[in-house]
Amino acid sequence: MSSKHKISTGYQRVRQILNAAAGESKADYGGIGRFWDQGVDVLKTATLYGHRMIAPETPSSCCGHLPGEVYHRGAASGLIRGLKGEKPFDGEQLPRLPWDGKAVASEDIEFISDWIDRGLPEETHEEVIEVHPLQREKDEPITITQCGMVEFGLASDSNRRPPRPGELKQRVNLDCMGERELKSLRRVFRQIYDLNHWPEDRRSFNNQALIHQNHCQHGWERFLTWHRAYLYEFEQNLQDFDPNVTLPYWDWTMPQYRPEEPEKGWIIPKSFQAFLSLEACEEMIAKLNPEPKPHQKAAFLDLARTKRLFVSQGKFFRYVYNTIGYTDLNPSPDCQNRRHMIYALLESNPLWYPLRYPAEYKAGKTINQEIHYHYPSANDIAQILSLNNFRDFGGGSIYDSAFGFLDQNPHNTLHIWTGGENPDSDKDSRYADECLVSLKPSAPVALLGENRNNMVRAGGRRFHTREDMYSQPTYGDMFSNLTASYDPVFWPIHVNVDRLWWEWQQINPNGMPVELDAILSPWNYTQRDTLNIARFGYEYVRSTYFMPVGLEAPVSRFISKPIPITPQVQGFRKAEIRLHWVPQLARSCFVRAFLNQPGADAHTDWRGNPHFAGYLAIFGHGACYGGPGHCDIPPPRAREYDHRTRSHNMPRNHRIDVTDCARKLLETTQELQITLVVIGADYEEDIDLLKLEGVSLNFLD
Amino acid sequence: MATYKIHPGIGIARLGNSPTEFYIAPEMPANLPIECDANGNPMLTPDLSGPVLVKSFKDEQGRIKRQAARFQVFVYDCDNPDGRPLKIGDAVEGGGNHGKLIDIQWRVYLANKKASWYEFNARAGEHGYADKHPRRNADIIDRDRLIIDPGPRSVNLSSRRRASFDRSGGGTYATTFPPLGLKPNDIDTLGDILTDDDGRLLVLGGHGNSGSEKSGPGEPHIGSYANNDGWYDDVSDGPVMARLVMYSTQVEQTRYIDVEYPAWVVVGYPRFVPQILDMITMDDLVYDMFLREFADNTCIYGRLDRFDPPENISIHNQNELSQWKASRLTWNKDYKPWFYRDIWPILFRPNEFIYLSDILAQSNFPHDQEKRGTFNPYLLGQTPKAKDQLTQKKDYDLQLAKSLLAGREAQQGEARIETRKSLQAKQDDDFDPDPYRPMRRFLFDLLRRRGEENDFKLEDKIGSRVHNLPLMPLLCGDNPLNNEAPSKFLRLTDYQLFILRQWAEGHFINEMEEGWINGNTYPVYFPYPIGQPKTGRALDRGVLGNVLGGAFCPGGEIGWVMRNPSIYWEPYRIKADRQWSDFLQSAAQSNKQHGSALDDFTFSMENPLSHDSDFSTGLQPGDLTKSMALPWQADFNECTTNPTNITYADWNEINPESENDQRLIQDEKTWDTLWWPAHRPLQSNELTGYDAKGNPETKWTNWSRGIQQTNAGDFKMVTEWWKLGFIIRNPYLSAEADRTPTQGADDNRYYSIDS
Repeated sequence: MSSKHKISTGYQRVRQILNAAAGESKADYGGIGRFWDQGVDVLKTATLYGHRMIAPETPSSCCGHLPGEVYHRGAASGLIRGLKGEKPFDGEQLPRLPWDGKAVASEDIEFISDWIDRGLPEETHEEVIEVHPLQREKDEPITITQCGMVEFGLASDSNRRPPRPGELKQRVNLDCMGERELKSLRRVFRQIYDLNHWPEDRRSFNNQALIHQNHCQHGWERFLTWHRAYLYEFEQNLQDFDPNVTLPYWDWTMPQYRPEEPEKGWIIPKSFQAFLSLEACEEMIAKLNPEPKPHQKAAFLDLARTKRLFVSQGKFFRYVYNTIGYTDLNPSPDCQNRRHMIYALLESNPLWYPLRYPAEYKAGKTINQEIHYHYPSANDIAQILSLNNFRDFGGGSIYDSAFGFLDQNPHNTLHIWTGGENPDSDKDSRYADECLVSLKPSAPVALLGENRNNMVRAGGRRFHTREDMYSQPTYGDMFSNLTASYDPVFWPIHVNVDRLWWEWQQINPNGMPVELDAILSPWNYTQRDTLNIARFGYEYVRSTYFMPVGLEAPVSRFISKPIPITPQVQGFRKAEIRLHWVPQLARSCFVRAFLNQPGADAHTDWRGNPHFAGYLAIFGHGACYGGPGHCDIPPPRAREYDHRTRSHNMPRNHRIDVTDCARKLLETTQELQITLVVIGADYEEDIDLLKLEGVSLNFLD
Repeated sequence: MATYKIHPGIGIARLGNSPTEFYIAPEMPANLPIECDANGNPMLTPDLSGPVLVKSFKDEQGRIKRQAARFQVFVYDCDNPDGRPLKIGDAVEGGGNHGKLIDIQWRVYLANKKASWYEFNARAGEHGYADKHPRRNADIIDRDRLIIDPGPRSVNLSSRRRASFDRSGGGTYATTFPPLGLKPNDIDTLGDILTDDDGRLLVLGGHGNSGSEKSGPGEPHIGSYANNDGWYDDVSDGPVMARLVMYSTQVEQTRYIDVEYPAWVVVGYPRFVPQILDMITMDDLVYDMFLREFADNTCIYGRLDRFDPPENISIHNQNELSQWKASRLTWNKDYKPWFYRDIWPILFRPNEFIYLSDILAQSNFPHDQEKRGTFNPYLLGQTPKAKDQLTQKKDYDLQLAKSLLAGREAQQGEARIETRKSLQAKQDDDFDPDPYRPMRRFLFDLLRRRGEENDFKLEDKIGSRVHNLPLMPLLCGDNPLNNEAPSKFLRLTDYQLFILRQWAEGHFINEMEEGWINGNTYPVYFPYPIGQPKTGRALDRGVLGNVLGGAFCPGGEIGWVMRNPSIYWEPYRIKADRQWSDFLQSAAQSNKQHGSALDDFTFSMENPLSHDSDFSTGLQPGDLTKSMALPWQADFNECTTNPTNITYADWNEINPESENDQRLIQDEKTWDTLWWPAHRPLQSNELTGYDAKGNPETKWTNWSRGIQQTNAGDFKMVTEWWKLGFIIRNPYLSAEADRTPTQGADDNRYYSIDS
């Protein structure tokens, strides 16, 4: 199918635009005069003070033009840059074009740029435009046979990669985690909750949380360093139970939280919200007294089946009371039915916490109105990351005990946001809908945000006992330093604070606390010890996908199964493919990476190919000149007492930056399929060379 | 996202002994300062088109008014990528808050560390001081008392408009000042700060008081141009920080955010010749360094083959900058300087010195712009033309004839130069597309290049460009005094030499030919734009254009430390030790406490102001001026000319007597070399009255009469400096004068006034 369109090539219009803008000007353009007014051929070759007015049809050399970039002849042309006033036509080296005339309107510049892209057609004439119903690529049969090609799938046991020396663990974005990873996380939290039965077991959740209650540092430079050590210690404690678990971070500025009107967003991550599992629900129904009516039972079970989420207990109980209609329920800590329900919710989701009233403030006020703090937006965080000294970002030293911005707000704000004010702390509170309006305004709270420690009772609490979970305090536990760490949402918030610090460290490598030798009690880390997170064995990625391959045989070509990419992953800063644990290769090679082009081979053109994502070069090691075993891959772990330096044959990791390509493709698709083509020095595929343990696709913030 | 920066990055205040009167520093090169009221608000012309410029530099009692360094906050955002001044009431954001700007707090910390610093000795110390290098006042054990430390001061627009860096410490800071009873003058303050009605900051320096604490026979006395134990003066420098105060309607609270980075203020001595620029200004000097060390303009200086499109090097990324610096860097051969913006102001400058010293007149006006045509801008500015463009043969013939004439003049008899070739090669019908190339080449060849700082003439060196003519500029270098790292003569910066080379080779643009400037109205003979800088960067550069950029021995306002890239955070911004420069409370702390205290004196400081430099951490108050002469008047007085020994390039001091070397005594040569006449004039026209038509009448005379070029003269200067005249451009000149070449000093373009 094709159709004809009449289009104006518009050289006359180009002249018209430029002459009108030049007006009466007598500028002689370094002696070449009005170069646009002397025909297309003159224009094509015109050079103004060394700058080509029209760029060549193809990039002149690889230098200055990165592989994978799309070349736009118009945009590269000196004429267009000159009309836009871009360097060197910014007035510094040369004035904006046309000289001594008027600036050309941006839509006219666009027109001229398009005209150049079209090849500067000479005259107005009819042009046949072939319009194909299908994209060209699909017209051509894929000639590569796929026989012998395995598509590698994602690792079955979560996305964790095998532990290898120097291989970091990934702390990932909470909202990008799969159900499998979340399940591991819940299980391991459950395990250390269970240890609370042994009050002297240091591994228990309460004893871990107690460290924060007794030692945490805020309002000065030890805030960030102390919490980095604390998170590490806590994460190690979790990994004692499941070495694959890492602490995820909650990026509270993601669009689903609607930072500009946060009350209308998710409020807190869905994985930390209340829901009923089917099992817990059935158990609960059996305990309720009076027994729920059949339609109420069905409604409860429906909650569990649909996994309906509730941000807080108040929201859950009001739903039960008003929508399900089970009204033998009141906010009193002694109400047995309420106790059964809280028990069931805790059984269903160990990451949920009853003493947490996110976004709930007295008299229905917002956090802005009640606390005079606001929920942080991505722009707010960008502003804070742009601060250029450690004191302003993270806090001052002992002689300068000043809050840093990251500590004060958003960190404090997120505590207050997730802690909230308990709408049912009042003895007269009821779950009936009409009672909501009767909530009394709270006491004067001008300093509520600042003095949040004064507001919470920690003495006499028996944390994480059921008694405690059924209580009705005034504020959520996150509201105060003294109680915050007992709420599991403490961790992803602080992990995100730690991540933001790490990002800031990349921009400000010399920004650090004043007293680097200061000890962070109760451990023996100094502040200096905490500066590099690699020491603690983790890195931050938004999301990661690992595909095991194995070192047994060379892969002729690596093709992954299509990897589903959730919408939450979109908006990443960087995407990279990593080749894991690649042993020394006998011959040098390139590895070209293609996305969503499974048939790519050594002859697939990469120039201007939107599926070409990047490449890397690996230097060959050459033939072994030693005896048997000389070039064997050493074991991943050194023998005991083998303190010699790393073997030169130790396999290594390689990375390919695929950001631009991945971003572009994800505009129109929700999965990515990786093809890695190994190309030898003869520019043909080398099918008997590359060995590797696995390939991962990583999205970084 | 918006960024807030203080401009200028380095502001210049100047001393004055008037107790109250002051004006605002000029913000463009060779511009006059700006008149203001007692609160620092600029006076506007009746039509409100711009500020009123200063006419009198002294108060009614004849005392010199101080010059205020004015600072303002610029906002950089999507709408204003080059920045615009921020105004009260504007929307602002930062630190995760946004709101309306309701106030600006400023914090300044001035100090004077001269008396505790190392003795100045030419270039010693430029790359670090040797252990044995002596300190000033070496016999004083309690070194802390040698640093004048008035503490920091803060002002704002709403509650405290003014503060003084005086001995009292505002009642809340234990200051360190020299003991009372200095002779001849006590030092009780380093200056003042105040805000104008728009929330801009004005910093005023000291009153020019210098004195010695020594007593007894023969004291006080001055024994050296640069180092005098027991002496103090009241110049100073230090960081300037600003905090924006906003009201956030989002949370109904006041919120605070600091600007991106501190600025710096330097107090110098008065600029007695405000409208004549030095051969190398501080802006010339640092701009060249920023190009080479900070990738400031990769169109001009950058990686080979990466000029177009230019690279963006993020200079705060140390790895990226180091990588850039380690690559093959060069000047862009395709870069075309502009004749009237870039080239002509360099060529024009030296001839201005005829109004400031006898020496050029006595040398038969070597930079003459008309009579012999060597420096005729209309000839020097003509660009090469392609042959087929030369259609008008008679025009060309005329030009050729002029060119031949000019070429002949330019030879001055002796030079073996390209002009000779051009004289021989021309045939009647042979069109030379670039007849003025030999003239340009001759001037460029005369210029002293890198590595030729100690060459007076190239004489018979292999490859000599200009046989037997002295290299230019013929001004003193950084060390014409001793044998440690001699640098007898000043040379132009690499950037200046680069653009002059491009010009000499014909790679340049003539703005008149292109119609960018109007040849009928352009002030060719006062080629500096008058008016207000349009961007923050233009303000940074404009202010430094009026500061001496060499030679440094030790210099005018500040010395060779300025060309050390280590002291900069980014171009035009000094790296500050943030513990001294910033508000004590972080802005986040102020948010928490619902207020930002103005009195935040240094309980934060564990240590007093340092006696050493720490470039890695950043500069402290007083670190820029501490290496300058003490008292400043001594060096100022002596920097007229220097009898530079030119016998041997490598030696400033030779001792033929020690071995009775009569041959050497016979051959010994010196050249009396000017220092920097635009900062320290020797002679001038002096206004004596007005003729019947109201035009000024003048007489040519010595500028500082009765003050000798001796240490005794230096001592006189301590009390007499404020009686010297300001040399201004004759305000009665018609606009036509800006378009005609000078006729010599007696055309009264500049004369000295005593008001």
